[in-house]
Formats: sequence, C-alpha cells, structure tokens
Amino acid sequence: MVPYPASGSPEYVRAELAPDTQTTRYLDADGSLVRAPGHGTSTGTNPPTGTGNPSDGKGPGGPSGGGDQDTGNDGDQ
Amino acid sequence: MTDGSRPVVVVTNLDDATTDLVLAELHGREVPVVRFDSGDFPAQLTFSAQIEREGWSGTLTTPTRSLQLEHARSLLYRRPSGFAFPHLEAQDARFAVGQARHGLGGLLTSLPDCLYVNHPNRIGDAEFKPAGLAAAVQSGFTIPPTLLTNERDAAQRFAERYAPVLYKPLNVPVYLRDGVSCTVSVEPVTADQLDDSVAGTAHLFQAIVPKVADIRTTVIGRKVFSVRIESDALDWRTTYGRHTYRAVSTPPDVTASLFSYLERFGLVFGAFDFAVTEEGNWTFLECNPSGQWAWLEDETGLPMISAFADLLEKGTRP
Repeated sequence: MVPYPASGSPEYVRAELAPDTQTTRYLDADGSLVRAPGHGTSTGTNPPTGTGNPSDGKGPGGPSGGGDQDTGNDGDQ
Repeated sequence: MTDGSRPVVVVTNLDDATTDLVLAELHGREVPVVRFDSGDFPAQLTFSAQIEREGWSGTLTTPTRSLQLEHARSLLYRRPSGFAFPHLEAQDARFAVGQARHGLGGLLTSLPDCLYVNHPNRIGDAEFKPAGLAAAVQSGFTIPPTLLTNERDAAQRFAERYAPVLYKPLNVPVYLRDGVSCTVSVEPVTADQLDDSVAGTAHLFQAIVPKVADIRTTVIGRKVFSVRIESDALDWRTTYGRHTYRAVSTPPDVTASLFSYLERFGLVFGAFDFAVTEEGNWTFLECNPSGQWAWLEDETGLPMISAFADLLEKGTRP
C-alpha cells in the first residue's frame, strides 16, 4: 500500500448544496464562497478531489467495488 | 406532468465536482434536478412510497426539494457516501443499514420509466474484475493474459511464462494509514517475489502489455470519446502532471465492442482503459462504470459535459 499522490489542500471549511442549482458550494471559515477544489485541473488523486480524480470510486466517498453499499448487491457474492 | 418538468435525480456525495459540472449545465437548460446523498438519510431525507399497478409512487423530501418518485426522468448514480448510523451501537447500526439499503436503496433501483446512469446494481456487477474480463472477451476485445489465484505455484508459473507481469488488486477498499488514503502501487512482480503469502487471499496477475500509450475511452449514451494519454508510467493514474492528452478517433471494431460490453451489463456509461501497442492495437485493461471523465474535457475540449447532460435530460435509453 502506498499513499495516493497528495492533492492541494482544499481551502474550504464547509460545503453545502445550493438550493437553486443543486451544485455544491464551498465556503471558507468566514462563510465566503471559495473556488471548488479540483475544478480546472487534472492533478490530484487523493480523494476527495474534483474533476481530475480518475481513481474511480476508491475514495472514502464512493462505492469501492465488491457490490454497491446502498442497494441490493451484497459484498461477498 | 410534462416531460420538461420531470426531474433528473442525482444520488452522490456532497464533494463531486464532476457532477457539479453536469448539474450546472442542466440548470442552464432549466431541467429540474433533485440531488441527495444516502448519507443524508434519515436525518435530512424522508420518504414514503406505495406500490400500484404502474409501479412505485410516492414522495422523497430533501432539505431543498420534494421529489415525486414516479416522475423521475433519469437517475444519475455516482458516489453516495453510504448509509450510516453512527449514533447507534454496531449491531443496531448494522440492522438499520440493512433496512435502509433494502428499503430506500431498493426503492431507488425500482423507479418506473426512469433511465439509470448507471443502475446501481449493474454498477455492482460490472465492478467485479472477473466479470468485466469475461464480458470483454465476449465483446471481442483483446485482453492481456490474466491469472486469478491464491496458489503460489500457479502464480510463479504464470510470472515466469508471461514475464513481465504485474499484480493488480481486485478491489480497492478504503485503506487508511495514519489517516492518509492509500492504494496498491501497480508494479511489475517477478516469480521469486511470490511467496506463500499468495495463499492468503485472491490475487490477480496480468501480463504487462508492451504499450506506447494509454487510451481512456468514455462512452456517454451513444457518444464515444477517446483520448490518447502519453506518459512514462505503467499506471498513468498515479502520476499526474507528466501527461499529454490528445483526442483520437475510435476504431470501428473497438466501438462495436464498447457497446457490446455495456449492453452485457446494462450500462449506458463507461470509462474504459486501453493500452495501445506499437502496432496500434488497443488492449482492454478495464472498464469503470462510475469513472471520472470531466478532466478530459478540460484537457481536450471534447464536449463531454454536454453529452452527459443530453443523456440525463433525454431520459430514454440511448
């Protein structure tokens, strides 16, 4: 096991869903909007990241194979 | 309800920039969207549904939206964080997770007249590498010599016969070391490195394809986007910043195999990885049914976000 390459540390402290667009907005400690992590870059594979993360579901956020966690597929088939 | 007012449903975690790009596009087209994460349940997510002759109908309520389940035109299933009940003790949490998965999770896999991109259960099927390789062979792709085993002798014989070979994990769960997310480094292995520890669990070994470049082909509905990636790495996914990207056309026989592969699993989206040999042959490595793709639009200008939005907006099987 080796660490994923480090990605730039995100400068946001909080993320929330924008009611109108249903996209995520990232806020700093003062509640100001900051740039979304990963947008416009192809670098960084240490999840969670943005558009440049083809590590594909291996991050803490995603189904990691072996059956989906939220639906009908049990893990040890 | 008119087709135009039927919502696109999005199930993913909060930190998903690829999905945000698609949702911004849908917002610009005035297509209604309802987004939530399974991890929001039950604190911020409630639902009730009844089964009728036409199928399940009912309401799912998020902090910002109310969804009539039977009106969903399409459902984008990406990377929900997973049902969790951290306030419960382990046994009770396991029970509650099971009820949530089979209840809400099962409901979300059973919506009437809804295009799944992709269906969660089909994603689950396609994430098994042995199933993917079997489908690849049946679809006419060339694949590298591959061995599945937990027997040392078989592994050593394979490593000698097909040298150089590599070890690939069959599944990469979250693996934290001192809080840092880790993965298995894909590196060549030799027969003398393979000891009795091979017996400890299942392993996948594969002959290394003598490649001159990698190709990532993203299929979105009926649209096929192939990008040639030049790097000096065995696994380009671990070495960003030293790559060059170029949009390339997809050979017709490969295109036919792509759709055959997706059809076998019932998928409408797939991120395929190929190794290209000096002769220009494409060798199938894997297909990820939930792969990332948006950075390739950044690199090449291929209109992938728009294609993805088209698929979800249309809501019919491509």
